[in-house]
Amino acid sequence: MNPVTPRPKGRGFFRGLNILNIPFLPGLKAGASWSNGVNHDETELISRCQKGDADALKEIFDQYHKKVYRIAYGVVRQREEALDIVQEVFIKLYRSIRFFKGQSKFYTYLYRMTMNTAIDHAREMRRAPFSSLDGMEGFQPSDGVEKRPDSILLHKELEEKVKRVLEKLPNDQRMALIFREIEGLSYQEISETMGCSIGTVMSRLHYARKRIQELLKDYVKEERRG
Amino acid sequence: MKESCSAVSKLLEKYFDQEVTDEEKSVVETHLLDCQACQEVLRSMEELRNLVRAPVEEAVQKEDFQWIWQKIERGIRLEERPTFWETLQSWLQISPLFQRKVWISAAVAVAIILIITIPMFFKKTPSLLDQSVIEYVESQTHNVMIYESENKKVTVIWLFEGPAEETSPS
Repeated sequence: MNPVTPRPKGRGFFRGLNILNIPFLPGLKAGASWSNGVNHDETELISRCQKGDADALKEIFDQYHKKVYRIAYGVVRQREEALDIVQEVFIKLYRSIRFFKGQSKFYTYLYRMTMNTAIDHAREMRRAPFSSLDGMEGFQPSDGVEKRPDSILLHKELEEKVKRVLEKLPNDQRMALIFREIEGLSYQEISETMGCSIGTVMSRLHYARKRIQELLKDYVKEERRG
Repeated sequence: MKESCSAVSKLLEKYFDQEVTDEEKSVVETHLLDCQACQEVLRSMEELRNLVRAPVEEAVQKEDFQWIWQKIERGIRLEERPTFWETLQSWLQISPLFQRKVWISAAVAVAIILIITIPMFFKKTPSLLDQSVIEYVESQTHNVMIYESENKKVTVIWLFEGPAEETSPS
C-alpha cells in the first residue's frame, strides 16, 4: 500500500521559498517534499519515462503490473481480458505520461487510467458476451480436497455469480469496492484516486457491500454449509 | 456502560477497514465481546471480501507477466516508428537551411515561377489541320477545292476542269 502523505499547500512563489526550508506556511514542514507524495526515485523514473526511456517504463511496469492486473481482473474477472488491459494501460501510460505534471500522486494517475480502461473493456464485453474456455480456468481452490469436479464447478458458478453481481453495481460503487477489497487502498487513497471526499468513499463502499450481501446471501450461506 | 449496537454499527465498517482511531477501536472490540449480531456482521463482511478477492489473488499468483512486458515493448516499438509527416517535420527541423526564414521567400518565388511556366508547358499548340478548312465544290464545268486557314492568311483554290486534268493552284 502506498503511504499517504499530506498534500503540500502553497503554489508558485511559495513553492520556490520552500526550497530554502522556511516553515512559515501552515501545514508546511521544513524539508518537506514537494513532489506530492511521489518519492525521489519515482520522480526520476517518471521524468525518464517522459523523455521516452523504455527502460524506465519497464521499471514502472515491474513495480505496478500486479496492482494493475488486480484492478483489471477485479473489474472484468476474466484472465485474457485482464491481461489485455494491463498491456493497454502501460502502452497508454507510455504515450500519455508526458502530460503527467506531478500535481497528483502517480499511483492515482495510473489506477484511474487502469480503472477507466477496465470499465471500458467490461462495457464492451457486455455488448458482445463471449464465454471463452479461458474463463473456465479462473478460480481454482487451492485446497486439495476441494479440487473435486463438483467443488470446482460450485466455485466456478460462484465466481460467475460474483462477476454478475459486481456488474450490477453502479460504476462509482464498483470502483470504490475494488480499490478497497482487492487493492487494499485506504479511504484517503481511494478518495484521491476517485477525486471525491472520504465521506463519499465510505458511502459508496457501504452501499456496494449492502447490495452485494443482498445478492449473494444464498451463496454465502451455502459456502458456510459446504 | 456498553455501547448499543446501533451506535457501534456506524463504526463497524470503519473498524473492518482498519480506519478507526484507537479510541473507536477499543469501543468496538469491547462491544464485540458480548454481541453475537455484530460479530455476525463482521463475519459477513469478511466472507464477502474473500469472495471478491480470492479469485483475483489466485489469478495473480498463476500469471507470468514477462511475456506481457514483451508484448508491451513490441507495441511501443511499433508506435515509435515515425509516420511520413513526422519524418518530414524532423527533417525540416534538422536541416539548417530550413531553420532560416529565407526559405519562405524562396518557396514563394519558386511557386510564382511554377505558376507562370506550367501553363506554358501544357498549352496545346494547335496543328495547321485543326485551324484549316477545306471545301470541295463539284459543278458541271469545274470542280473546285478551296483550302483556307482559320486566320485567313492563306487561301488556296484548285480548279479541276476534267476528271484527269488539274490546274495549278492560284
